[in-house]
Amino acid sequence: MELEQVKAAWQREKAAYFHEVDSKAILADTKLKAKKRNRDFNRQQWMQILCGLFCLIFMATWYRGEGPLLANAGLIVMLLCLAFMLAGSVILKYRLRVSHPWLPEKEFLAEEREKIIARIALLRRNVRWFFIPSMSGLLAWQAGLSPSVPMVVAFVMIVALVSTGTFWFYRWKLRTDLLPILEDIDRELESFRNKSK
Amino acid sequence: MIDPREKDRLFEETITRNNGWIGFLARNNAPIDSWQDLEQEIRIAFWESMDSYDVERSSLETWFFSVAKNTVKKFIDKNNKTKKRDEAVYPNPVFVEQDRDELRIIEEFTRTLGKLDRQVFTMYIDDLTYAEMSVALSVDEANLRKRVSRIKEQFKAKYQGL
Repeated sequence: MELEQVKAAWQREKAAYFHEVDSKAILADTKLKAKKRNRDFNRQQWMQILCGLFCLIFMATWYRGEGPLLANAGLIVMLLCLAFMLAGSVILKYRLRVSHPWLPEKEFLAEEREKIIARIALLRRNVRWFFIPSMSGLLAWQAGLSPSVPMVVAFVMIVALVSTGTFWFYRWKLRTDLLPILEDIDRELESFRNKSK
Repeated sequence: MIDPREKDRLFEETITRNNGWIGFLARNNAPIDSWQDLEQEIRIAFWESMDSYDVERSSLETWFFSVAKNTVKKFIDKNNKTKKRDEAVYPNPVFVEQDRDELRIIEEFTRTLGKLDRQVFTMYIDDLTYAEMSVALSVDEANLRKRVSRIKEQFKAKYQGL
């Protein structure tokens, strides 16, 4: 059997599809789903923003002007860190949504690579620069409010547990989700480089 | 920005012309239970990309092809378990005499090819010109001609006598 024979069969198959396709229905369905996807994305973003703001405002009510300086400073640090984490996450989601699939494969891959790197950077930034200070803020806030040793010890243990969990999640997410994709993309980009040599 | 009516018309025409190819692409790159999801992803990505369509940059066909191919890539990355499941469904391209019609041969032969050869083969049987393939794959035409010639030889060797 020759390749031209199967090529002709494939063209016949395409022609058969041509008659079967109800392009109007496909168009309507695609439009509907694209709209729904946009709506869902915006709804999720707004839910995240509103819930985040609600939590921040709720925590801000814990602030007491006449309260201990350590507690107030801790609370402010915690609020700022959480606000930065929320903003970073919302901005990144908008950034990830922008895609240019019409670009040549190599450029598209480079764009996807940038997105993965941005996700990794956000995770790292959140854990290193915002999560640890926010936990320190939480400890300072609690220590400022109730300087009793058992209470502080209990809080330190809770913070240690939450921090361990967060670090574990961060490493798991990197190892199982982001790094394998990054490696795949790098491999493909490398093969492009080899091809052009 | 493309006129909305024109956008509808171009979308319908392109999708109608390439519907079989979308199905083929989906069947080759998604697990059995996700074919339709991938087909849908391609259509939506194409629809959304049409607002940015630049006539001077490329023909709509080439544009569509790039969008489809990159959407498939994204879909595979997103569902990176796809490959393993795919292998489970097709552990080997097994020879089944009674089912050996041309389309099955295409699917079977495609699975024996490397990634780039698979794309070249798919585009070749889809009757894309070398120029169009070259733009979509970022590979020069001379290289593509050599690849097609090698694929033809491989095909002939594998299916000689059928």
